Amino acid sequence: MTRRVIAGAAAAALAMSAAIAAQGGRPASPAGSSATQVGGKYVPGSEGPAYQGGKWIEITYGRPIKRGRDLFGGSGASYGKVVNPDAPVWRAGANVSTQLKTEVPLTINGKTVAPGTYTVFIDLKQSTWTLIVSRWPAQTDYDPSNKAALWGAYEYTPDKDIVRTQMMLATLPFSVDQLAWEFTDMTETGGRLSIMWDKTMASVPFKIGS
Amino acid sequence: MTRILFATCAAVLAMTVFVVGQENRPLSPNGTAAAQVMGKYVKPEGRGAPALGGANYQGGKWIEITYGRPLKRGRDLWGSGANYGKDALVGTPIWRAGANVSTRLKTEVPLVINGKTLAPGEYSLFIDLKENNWTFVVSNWAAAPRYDPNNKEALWGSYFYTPDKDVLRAPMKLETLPHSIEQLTWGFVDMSDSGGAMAISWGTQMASVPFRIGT
Repeated sequence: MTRRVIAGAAAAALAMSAAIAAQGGRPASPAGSSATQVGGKYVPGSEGPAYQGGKWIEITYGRPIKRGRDLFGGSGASYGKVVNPDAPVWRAGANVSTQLKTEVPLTINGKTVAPGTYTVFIDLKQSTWTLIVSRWPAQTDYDPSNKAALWGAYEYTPDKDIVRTQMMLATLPFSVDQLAWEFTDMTETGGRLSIMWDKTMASVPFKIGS
Repeated sequence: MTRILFATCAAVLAMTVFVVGQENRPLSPNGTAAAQVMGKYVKPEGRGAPALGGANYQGGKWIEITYGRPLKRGRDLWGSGANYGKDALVGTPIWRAGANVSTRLKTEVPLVINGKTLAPGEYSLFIDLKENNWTFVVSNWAAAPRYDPNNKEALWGSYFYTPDKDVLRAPMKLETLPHSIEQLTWGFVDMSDSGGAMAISWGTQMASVPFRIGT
């Protein structure tokens, strides 16, 4: 056990207990998901066309709230410390690791992501956000003795990375209070995986298929 | 009566499609948007910088919207002219602004919207859809947890909505987004401790209504 591991574990334990204790059992960062469906067809139905046979792509994550903080302020080494004080990369959510579940193969930055469940992280550098798709499994509840899966991004290592790709950063004309992952600009051939928080929107394109 | 029967049939059919779709996964998954106000950051003992996740935010009051999240799936969502909003309404008098169960607003604090006070409690939300003119409707109509044609005390979605239980109506600000949101989303935007706006986004359309905290 290194000191870093212990510190990370302690921080995670504190975050967990605080999340559970806060607000009468309601987590301070409620769970959320965004989903999209591709490859289906509209067939005539009695109430109008019904969409059938589609395959799901889903992202599940914890949804932290801005609550008046300067989320992405700071510069140099202090950049990103508000949203990610003490993990190697940002979990891009809250509590449990952010997960991407796809029923179809996806191509991101030239790499194929086979159907399956993955964890998603963001390496936060000022003006450069890198999306990471990793084979690290996610813990469902924080368990410091579980070395085979991650809680959030604590103890993340890059050896299980499948994809790393630079995200397109854009500024929104409004401030989103609760972190949101969304599928945007979707067509049958692909779309974008986007994260929005405060006035920052970061996205990566993906194609359906390998 | 014919209209009621027709609407009932439509609702039953909608339910059937909903349940059988995609191996029991709802075609329009559930969603929630939440904001918290009036709390304080309390510096934790024995630790430095406040952690993320609201670990140190205490005493806040929740405002929450729960709703079904339909997918665009390549459709023209709104139409135009005489057909404007027709696909979203599926024969109902007003849009449920979501999918399946009625969209609900739950607030632990009083809110002021368009000059009217909304006491802490739970309400149903609807949107009156007119081309270039969306009206946000907060109603005392209860929401039925599942479709039940015998339940006359609560609504499923916006079927059989009537305006007599309206608490307030407010014009929405319509904006065009630079990207297309695939799955309908409600969110709180431009929040401060004195208020913010509730915003619905779907496709490239965003519509929002400002609110203040307090009476």
